[in-house]
Amino acid sequence: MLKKDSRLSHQSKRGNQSAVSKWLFTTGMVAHSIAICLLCYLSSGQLVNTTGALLYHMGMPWTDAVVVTSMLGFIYLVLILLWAFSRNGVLRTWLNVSSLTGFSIFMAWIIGALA
Amino acid sequence: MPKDLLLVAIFSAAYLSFALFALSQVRHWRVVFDKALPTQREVLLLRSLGILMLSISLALSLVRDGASFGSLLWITMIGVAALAVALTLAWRPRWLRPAGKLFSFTHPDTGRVNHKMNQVKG
Amino acid sequence: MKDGFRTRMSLLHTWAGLILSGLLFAIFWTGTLSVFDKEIDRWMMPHTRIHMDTVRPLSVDREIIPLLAERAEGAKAWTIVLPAERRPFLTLAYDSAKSHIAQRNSFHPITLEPLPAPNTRGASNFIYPFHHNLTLRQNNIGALLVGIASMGMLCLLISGIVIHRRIFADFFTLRLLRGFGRANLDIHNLTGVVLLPFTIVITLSGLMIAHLIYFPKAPDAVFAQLNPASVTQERPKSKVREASRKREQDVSSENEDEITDAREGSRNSPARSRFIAESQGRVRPQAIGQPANIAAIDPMIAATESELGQGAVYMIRVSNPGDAGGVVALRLNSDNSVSQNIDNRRFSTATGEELAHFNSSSTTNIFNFIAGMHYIKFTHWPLRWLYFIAGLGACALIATGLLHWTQARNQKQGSTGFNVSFMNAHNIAAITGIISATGAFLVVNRLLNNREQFAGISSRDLEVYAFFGVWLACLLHALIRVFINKQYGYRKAWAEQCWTIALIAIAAVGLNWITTGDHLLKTLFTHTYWPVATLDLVLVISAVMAIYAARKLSVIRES
Repeated sequence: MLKKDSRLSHQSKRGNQSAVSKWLFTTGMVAHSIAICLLCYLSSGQLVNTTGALLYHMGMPWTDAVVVTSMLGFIYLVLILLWAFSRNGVLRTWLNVSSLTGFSIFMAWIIGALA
Repeated sequence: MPKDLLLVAIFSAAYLSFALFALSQVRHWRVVFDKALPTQREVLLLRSLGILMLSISLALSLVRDGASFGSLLWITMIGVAALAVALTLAWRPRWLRPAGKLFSFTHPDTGRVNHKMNQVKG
Repeated sequence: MKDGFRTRMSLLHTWAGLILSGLLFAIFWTGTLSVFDKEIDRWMMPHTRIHMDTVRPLSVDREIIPLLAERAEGAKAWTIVLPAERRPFLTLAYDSAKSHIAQRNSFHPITLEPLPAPNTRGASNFIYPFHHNLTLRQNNIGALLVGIASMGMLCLLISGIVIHRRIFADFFTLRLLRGFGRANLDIHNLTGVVLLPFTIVITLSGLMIAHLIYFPKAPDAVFAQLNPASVTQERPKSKVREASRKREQDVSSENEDEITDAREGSRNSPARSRFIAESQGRVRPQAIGQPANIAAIDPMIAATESELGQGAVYMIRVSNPGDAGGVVALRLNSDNSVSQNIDNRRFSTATGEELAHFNSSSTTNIFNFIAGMHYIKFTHWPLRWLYFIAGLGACALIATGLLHWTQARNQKQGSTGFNVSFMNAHNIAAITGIISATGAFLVVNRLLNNREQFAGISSRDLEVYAFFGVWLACLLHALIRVFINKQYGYRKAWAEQCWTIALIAIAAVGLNWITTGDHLLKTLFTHTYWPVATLDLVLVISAVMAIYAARKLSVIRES
């Protein structure tokens, strides 16, 4: 497993780079990951709102709908995070995650207008 | 007092079931039996006996504490029992011989339990 | 594709582990200790080491109300927490005309003499809050950090299972004698797989019970469906409501405080307040303004206990005593169920009539089950111990994960970059550092021996300063050792901090003996008192284990 890690780590793939570009790369990856995590959280929050509203319209008392949807929210978030970090390549990750976020915001907006 | 006894029984059943699961793996089989490899049938038998013991421990914990406490007790107990089996195999693998004896008693054509000092191949 | 997925999961596992494991270890360690928080409280507050066997049931009307009458003049609410097995004293809490912050007093369960102030936060007011908000309560920062770490833990657990290729083949593999790296990875894999149900459930339930912090907008979003105008209409009022809500929290009882703080954080919108009131049944009755007598409370308890069983009531809350609109709420204990019992029985203070009581809905009961599973308020000693063992196992899982990364890099000769050295120091501070700090918390508590203050600093704070001070000192020590000798310094630091843990643990047991006279022989055999005996025993065992580890580490250094 270990050998695998070192083969995988992007730094070693890029071999002999200057220290500056190495640091730039690291900072970039950190910023990328944080942004992805925030987008995932945002979309899970929107999905929670959507599910809650749907459950309410399906006839659940509103407090129960809040409880159920909030509990589901954590499962959404784990799945979304794992899904986001299993994407191949930075660009594809951004494409996928931002379309999910857009979709979830859109859904929440539609449901919000439904009231 | 019967409750304490039941607790011991739950743990023992879970421990025994994981011991049987361990014996069904070649590495641990060799520690206990003098035959080099278990047959397909023996592996199957060991594992189904293990599942049986595991369900016995579940049944006992449900009897002891009811559905909610019982299931919680069982889930945490099997984790601890599996840890205990792994520790036994790490420190004193031969302590699993009684479990092996028990098994060859139920299933006589499985080679005898090996009493020679067997090299533990990691 | 399958392999690509696995490699990316492995990257995720490595990075999330490196970044979050220090925090996770702290959370799991304090959480594991919180399993026995009340027992640690008994150890830290010697005058509350009271045997419950001899305690008779108290009469609220004849014995407790007079105590309140002479102390709680003009209080808006009384809270009476009856003595119980794990909390063997009577607690009374009441606000006063001057302050909304409830004053809390403890009384001996037999003589009803006031117990001296504890002068310590104990485990339930320091270690337990640290577990869920790192004692950073401002803007819920601590709770959010804990949430991020828990989410990371879930990702780590799942990605760990994905990258572990031979789950079943290696299920029982534990090669303890085949070199440190091998043994370490085996322990990591074994605890990871075997304790997976426990770790997933405990992490997920920990997140779920605080859903109002992590998904704060959910009640608003659903409430907007029910009442579309509410969002715009009620917004201006929210500031006032927030203030009143804050006041409510200040006067609420200790038990409620712990829970509300853990669950909700500090901000509340109107929809959130309504959600809390309707879903959890926490409402605050308003005073009418007409004076009235207080009806007998004992019959209310008797009626409730004849319905629900002896000892079902653990807390009595009297809102607006002496007012015609006053309400007596009897809170029911959760000793005999996994789920947290948030139902109550309510009576009018003035007439003694039973009022409509709160019963949580079946969906909320699922939530209560998940919450109760995490809070372990029930009385079930085997299960409590299993939680403790599994918690320690989870700590071992996190620690071995951290060690796996550094150990693999330490073994490569000459490759001691800054990253590796930093992680070496980080691991030492994160693992042995917090263990020493916890020990120091106990030692300082016994050194201060219940005095109110020392050198102008209140004892309550001094213990906490000692905790963080020792933790910081451990970090500095690790940094110095690691950066003086990049190749082998970390081993020295590990060994030295193991010795420190042993020393602190022995000192804690010794100081407990000296300051209270409760030595192990006494608490085990002559005057058996399990909470203190067990903590002393655990301290002795950890000292022995620390000495064993320290000696092992020294041997490795010599070879």
